[in-house]
Amino acid sequence: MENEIVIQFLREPTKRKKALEYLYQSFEKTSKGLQRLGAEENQTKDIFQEAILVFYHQAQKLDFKLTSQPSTYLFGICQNIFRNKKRQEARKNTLSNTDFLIEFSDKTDFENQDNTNIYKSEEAISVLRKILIQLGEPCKKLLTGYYVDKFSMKELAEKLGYNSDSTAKSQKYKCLQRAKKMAQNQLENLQIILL
Amino acid sequence: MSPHLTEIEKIEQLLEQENFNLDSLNDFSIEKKQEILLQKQLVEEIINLQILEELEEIHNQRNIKNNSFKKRIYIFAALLFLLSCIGIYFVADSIFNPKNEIHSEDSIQNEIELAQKNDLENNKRIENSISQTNKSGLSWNENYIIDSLQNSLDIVKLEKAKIRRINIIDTAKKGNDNYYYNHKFSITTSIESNEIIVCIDNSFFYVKSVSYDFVDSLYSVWYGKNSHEHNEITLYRIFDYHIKGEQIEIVNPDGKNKISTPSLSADGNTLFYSKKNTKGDYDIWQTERILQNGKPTWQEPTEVKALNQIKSYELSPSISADGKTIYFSRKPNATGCGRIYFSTKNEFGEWNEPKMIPISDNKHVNYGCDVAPYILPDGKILLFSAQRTGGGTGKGVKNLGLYDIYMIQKQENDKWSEMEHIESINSDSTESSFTVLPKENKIYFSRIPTNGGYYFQYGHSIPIPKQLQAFFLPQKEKANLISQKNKLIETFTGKDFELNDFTFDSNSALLTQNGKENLERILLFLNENPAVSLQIIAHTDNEGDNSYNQILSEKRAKSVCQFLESKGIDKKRLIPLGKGETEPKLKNTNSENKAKNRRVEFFVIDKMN
Repeated sequence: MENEIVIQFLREPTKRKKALEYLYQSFEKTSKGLQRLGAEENQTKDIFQEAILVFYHQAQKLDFKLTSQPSTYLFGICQNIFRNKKRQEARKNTLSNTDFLIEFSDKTDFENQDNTNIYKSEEAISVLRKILIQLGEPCKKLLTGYYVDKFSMKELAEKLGYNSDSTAKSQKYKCLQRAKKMAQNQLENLQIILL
Repeated sequence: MSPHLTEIEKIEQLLEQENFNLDSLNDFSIEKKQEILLQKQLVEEIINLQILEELEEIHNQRNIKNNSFKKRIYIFAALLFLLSCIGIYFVADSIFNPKNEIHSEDSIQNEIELAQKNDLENNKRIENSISQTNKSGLSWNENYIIDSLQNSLDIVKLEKAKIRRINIIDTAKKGNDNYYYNHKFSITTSIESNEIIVCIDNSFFYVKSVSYDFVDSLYSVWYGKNSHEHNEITLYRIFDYHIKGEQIEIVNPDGKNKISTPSLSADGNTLFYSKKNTKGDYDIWQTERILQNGKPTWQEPTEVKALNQIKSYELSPSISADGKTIYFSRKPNATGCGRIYFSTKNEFGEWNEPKMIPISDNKHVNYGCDVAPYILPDGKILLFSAQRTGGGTGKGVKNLGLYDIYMIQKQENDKWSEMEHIESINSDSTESSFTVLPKENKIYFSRIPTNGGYYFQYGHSIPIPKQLQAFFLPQKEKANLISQKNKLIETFTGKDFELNDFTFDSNSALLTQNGKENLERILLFLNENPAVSLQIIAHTDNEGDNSYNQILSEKRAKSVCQFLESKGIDKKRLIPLGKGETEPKLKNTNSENKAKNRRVEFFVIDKMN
């Protein structure tokens, strides 16, 4: 596949899977490469998948240009992720899991509060993912259908058997609202630990 | 379609704008901004989860393709296993079934017994693990306490070694689900009645007459497990193994309230705490204990409305010993930075509008994230936990990392001194929730430690520094409760207060500054308990003439009375007595003992009896 086609496919929900399968072909090679750098065998899958996520998000940007082979590019991302992981582990060994508290408290520092996203921290993300998993199947179908597969509300309503697109829409709103509320509550708990 | 958009849709439109970037959010309030960022991240994670799922599918498919031969072997093995299971089942069934039918009741009994036995074993294992951890050098011995008590001169100069962790226990039990808990362990004590209230898992436990063992038995260990999936951290907890306190149920009758950070008044009859309200933020509430049908009973809690603001988080209240000032921390929202506020009571007993402790000249206090204030019984020294990172956080504030404990002192004209870092108890991890345990002569604080692994431990105690010990001298023994104006006061048998050598200038009946300060506390006691009168007995050592000592002690007792009278105490309530050198506490053999014999004792006399 040409570079442009891969990116093009990643942008189109219906063809996304093809592109992902294509990218996944370089898994074995990448895995070996990472192990040579010192990664454990059971880590490589997570790192590789994380790298594809990064690639996917990059591909959504209209001005994204890929100059090298996708597999080379992916391996580059993998290396970065692995290095970060190693650094974090080293920090964890000295600071235990108060690490995320540092991250949190650094970011809630009064002065720096303006330009950081506290929800991007690793711990916040794991909480968010957990919440989304707990939302239940109907919500999941609706949300992924809308945000990932980019169906219109009308299509979604037909597909999932809602009466009209406005009911589907309000349902989607409720799902997101619930997730948000849960996230606000649970992430606040992380903060309360400090009080 | 409705013409007005929901909040979520508005944010959605904002995020979909082509020129959207984080800088364009600066026009919004912090709260709004966080809401937008949260939604953005949530949508991103929806995408991520879906893609990860698809990738996992691809991964598995590839594995199956690669291992089609292996797969066949697995299926064959599984079938074989299934067949053998069925075979065993039939054989076992034909053997055991008849017996089972006959002895079905017995078997239930057996099961119960087995379960009980398992429980016992489980408990034993936990107990064993306690003693093991103690053996491994984490505990301290008696000598150690005595040593540190003698050497601790100054709160700032305490040595690190004197800090002791409150029990670390193995983490055999797991919580029911894998959420982050906010079940922080916190503790509050009443200075005069020596009561302790412990807050764990949104419950308050009331404990009277504590011992070293009690502190040892308090623990709350958090055990985190790092799972590879989604790189999440799971916290498990285990607690209340040893705590046998009476629960104050009225603060959380159905167990649904989220409550934390209790603060008990000096007499132990008023309890302030933080409670999460229906809107999600925390407010300060209070409950009072009065005598009902001869039994001390906690009343229905009420919100302390004067202290709370809509939407902001009011936490960690700390009531002063005189009950006239309350300190607390306030955060603008869930993730914002805390600031320390205080409020005073006006003549009608209502709280005035809370004020922030002003930012001092060097931009020390309230110039970063300041939380968890605790006012010492003298009402002048405030300890709190603060974080100072990044630029512009005040000149010369030392910070070992994360939250450290600091103290500030109230000066004349109500100004506060600059922050003083209490190096001896701080480390590069988070320290907060400073509290004193008066009866144990100990200080309690919490620390999230640095020593590897996923642990959160709350609870460290150190001896009370000498500087502060004067406030904890009265060792009250068995107390009995009597009612008075529907409020509780406590009377005690035996000696109730004692003032030491430094109350007077040598060979003089003039009160020293130190003596006056100590008498202020007694004044407070008398003001709060108007039905009580006081016998004041002065003693001297055997230095000098017998009759001279007698007269000196009488003069000193009177001088104490005069001081209290000048502060508005009725003369009838004070009974001065001089005993000279006739009743030494210790033999007058050396100067140290002599110093202990020069003293003033106070006996509480209850008029109602």
